Amino acid sequence: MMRLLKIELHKVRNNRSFKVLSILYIIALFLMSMGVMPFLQWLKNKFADFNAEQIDPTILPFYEFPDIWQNLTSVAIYFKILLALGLIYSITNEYTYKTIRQNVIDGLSKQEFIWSKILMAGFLSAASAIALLVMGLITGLIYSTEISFALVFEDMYFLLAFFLQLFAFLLFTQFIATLIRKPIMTMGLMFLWVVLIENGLFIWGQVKGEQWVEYLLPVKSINSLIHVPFPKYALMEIQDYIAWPELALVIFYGGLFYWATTRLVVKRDL
Amino acid sequence: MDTVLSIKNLSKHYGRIKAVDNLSLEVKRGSVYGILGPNGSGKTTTLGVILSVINQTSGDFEWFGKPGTQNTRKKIGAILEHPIFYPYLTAVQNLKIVCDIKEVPYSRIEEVLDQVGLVLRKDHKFRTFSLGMKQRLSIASALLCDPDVMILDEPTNGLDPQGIAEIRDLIINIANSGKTIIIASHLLDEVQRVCTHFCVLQQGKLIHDGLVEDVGKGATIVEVKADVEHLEEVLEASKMTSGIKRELDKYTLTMVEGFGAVDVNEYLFKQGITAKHLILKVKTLEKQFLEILAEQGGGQQ
Repeated sequence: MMRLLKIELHKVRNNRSFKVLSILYIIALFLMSMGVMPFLQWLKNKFADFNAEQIDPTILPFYEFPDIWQNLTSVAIYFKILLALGLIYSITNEYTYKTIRQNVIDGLSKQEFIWSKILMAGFLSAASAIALLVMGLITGLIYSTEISFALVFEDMYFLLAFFLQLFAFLLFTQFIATLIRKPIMTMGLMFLWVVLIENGLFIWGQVKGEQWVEYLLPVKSINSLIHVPFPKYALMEIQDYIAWPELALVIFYGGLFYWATTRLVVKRDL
Repeated sequence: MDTVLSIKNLSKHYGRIKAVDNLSLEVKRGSVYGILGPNGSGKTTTLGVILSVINQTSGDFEWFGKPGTQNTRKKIGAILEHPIFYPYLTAVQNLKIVCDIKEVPYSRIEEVLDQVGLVLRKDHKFRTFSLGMKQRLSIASALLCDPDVMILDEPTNGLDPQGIAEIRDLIINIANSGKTIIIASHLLDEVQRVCTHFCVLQQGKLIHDGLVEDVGKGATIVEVKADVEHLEEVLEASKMTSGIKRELDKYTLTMVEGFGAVDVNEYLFKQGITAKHLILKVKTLEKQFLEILAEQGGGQQ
């Protein structure tokens, strides 16, 4: 396993697009985990300039334990697109340069090739979850009004759910990239699928009252594992836990895309 | 001699096209085996199948008497078509990936780069290499695992004469060290100089296999030139030839068994003709190859 991860790290370490995308991703995570309060503070000062002191956005408990875990993960998951782009390049490059063929000739099995990409995706997902954990602990300790051991750890399982969500989405990305083999067309198809087809079907399902349709939409299913918590600040009801059926659905889709990718690569001539 | 590679009844069909058609052959340890054939005759497809990058339609192949797996491929050094590397990585970085795949220590990198003369460019990106350097890097990469077998597909394709000579010397050196080499090529001259065995493929079928040293055997060929108008008739009247071919003022004679260049010379002199050009031709692989293809073409019609 370490051998495969090492091979993959050798491949991406000096790749410029991978480096740029990773740096952007790290900056995005950092701003989101550290920057919301300073931003609200800045807003408050602006309001004060307009003699509107009664509006105080800093009372929003964005970084309050234990809410912080759902808040951070539900926002951070949007940045997954940057990791997905990195993965698309890393997979389609292998086809453009034909290096996948040479890898197999040199003695990597097709299965090991897929695993090396999956290990990388898993590694990136785990690193993201750990980064959120560290930054969440820091900002939480700074801004929480009440700190106790129980409160800090109460909803930390959202980080695990976040890892799973990210990983499943990257498996979806791997499948599309393996299917299409061209970077721009892969991005095009993913955009088309996520924005037009899934949303279209979702809205159609809502209008017709056919709720089951949304379970057939993989990206929608993956995205809705962690529900967006912010409506609760407008005193609305939200789901502030992970539902088992939704979790099972994400695992199912992850497995499905892994299976489909394997079939594609093994059956196809390189 | 034990068998390194044996292919049995291998076929690969792309729809109706039979890229490889019921092919069987064996490569013995220590031989340098040339696979000849016109473009599109199935050479690369065959190599692709035995290296597991192309799935065969039917048939089997065995490496060292066992079905091929990724672990057998780790002990084979192979290059198909062009040199393939990550263009944004340096020579050393690329070879590190190959080392990790083949599970070979990094210390080999310096040795193989030295062997192909690329040490000075080892930290340059692959993208910046000339074609000859790319070819040499791929040979270095194939040598990394100190392979039992090397597979080279058109190793001198697109190189200048100097590059061709360099690669050829490299191959001969490797062959002298006792390694088995399989070379696919359409350059007959190259195969004749380097190989011990050869086979000919046409439209995916094996139409000939044998030893390169047997190529020169067979009917004697003599070339004659003389400043006489009726030379062809005179030669025909001699009854020493089974065939005469004319190329401008040069006549190529295929001799009847038992006659040679001496007899032609003597005969012409007796007829009062002095030859200004008389050569005993050693049959080249090229000639043999074209003959084999022609026989095959005739047989098909």
